[in-house]
Amino acid sequence: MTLPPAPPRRPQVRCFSTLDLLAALRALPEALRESHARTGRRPLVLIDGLTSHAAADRATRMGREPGTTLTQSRVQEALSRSVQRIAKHEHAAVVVTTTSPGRVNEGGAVSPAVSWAFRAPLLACWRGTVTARLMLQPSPRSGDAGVLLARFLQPEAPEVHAFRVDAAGAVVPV
Amino acid sequence: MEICGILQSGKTSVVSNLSVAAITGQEPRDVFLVDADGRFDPLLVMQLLQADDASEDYFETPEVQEILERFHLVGLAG
Repeated sequence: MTLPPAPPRRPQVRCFSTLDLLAALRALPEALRESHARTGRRPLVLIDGLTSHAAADRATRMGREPGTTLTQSRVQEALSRSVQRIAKHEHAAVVVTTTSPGRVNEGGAVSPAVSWAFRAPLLACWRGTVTARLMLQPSPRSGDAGVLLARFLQPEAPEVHAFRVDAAGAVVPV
Repeated sequence: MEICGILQSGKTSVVSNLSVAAITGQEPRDVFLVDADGRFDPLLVMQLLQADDASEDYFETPEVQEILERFHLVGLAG
């Protein structure tokens, strides 16, 4: 007798600090291996808010106490290695979201207009980890309330896509 | 892949929709959500999955197919 295939699963981990996030990522490979062996398909890992706790880490002076080995850069390196391991060795597709410091123009200053100049919110250790980058921002035009804009910066594409998020949370093109 | 944007630029909504597309797509797959932001509302995903207009037909509508294709969401899941 053959059992029907199990329906897809959606495990969720909620993190409340950078170290929570690191622990979650370090715990994922076994679950990903099990998923791939069970379904034969690449699981998808979505990491929402990768940079969410950076400000708190700075505010709490993580790693600035004398003699500590738990520095911000070392934790970021460990996070980067964990994400690369998941992508390369565990057959998973990985998507992360990061929060940009704001619209920037070519000179790096904050701009009120649409600009696709990119100021990386991730530390240098993440360079080489990202294989594709989608940039989002609200439309600055006064008549475009609620309209969001998206453009691929890597690989670079000139098209700008406008969309809204409806009341149900669905992404709807405009 | 990195989805980068300023606050309130739709990042969480895009990954929520990506999550739903991966689960209900032609080749459904496991999705592992790691929420460091506190904004990824599981109720939102359930709402998208269970809303009256989010039945199987919902993902076959031209509007949803178009946005999935425009953002390469289905392709990225693979």
